[in-house]
Amino acid sequence: MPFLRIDGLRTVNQLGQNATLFDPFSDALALTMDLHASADLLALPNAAFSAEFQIFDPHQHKVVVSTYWGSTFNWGQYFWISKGNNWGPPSAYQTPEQWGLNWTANSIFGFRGIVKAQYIPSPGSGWSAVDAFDVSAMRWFRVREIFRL
Amino acid sequence: MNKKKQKRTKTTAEKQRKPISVKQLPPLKSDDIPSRGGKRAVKED
Repeated sequence: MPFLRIDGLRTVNQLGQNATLFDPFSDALALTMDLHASADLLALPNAAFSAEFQIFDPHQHKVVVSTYWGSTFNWGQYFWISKGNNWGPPSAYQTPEQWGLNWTANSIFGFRGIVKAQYIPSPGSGWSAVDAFDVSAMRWFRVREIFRL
Repeated sequence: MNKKKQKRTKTTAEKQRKPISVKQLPPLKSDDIPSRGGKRAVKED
């Protein structure tokens, strides 16, 4: 039975640490998913996946950021994917401010991942859904209450 | 045995049933937020 699982989520800063507290202006915030695809999923013709990285604001009970990654499977069964520059230079970091977060009313946010697999059964047939998907639990993180004057 | 096949008339429910439209999955999408990926150091099956 094919499957695509989210083994874990990480919120990674510029030091490569799986952090939960971020300076909104200077810390990088990379949203990272650790994924596991079954061997029979990878064996399907043109097997691919679509991943959505969401940032959730519990104060508004609303998804405030949604970013996508769609790709074929390039790294075998166990791999990670990440959104947001945390490798530098510092001026290019994807900070909480760069993500577009608003931490005035609420400074705690959740990162949630959604992944689903698809394939092309025969040439020209278009994508077909596979019963292989996952929705992660929320990984909570906090943005320091620092504001620009 | 020369039985003539009788055509079954459709029930009202069947007549009212709308045809199913199959929507194709959209192409894979990615946006321009910088991204990276790689193999994880886990023993494969």
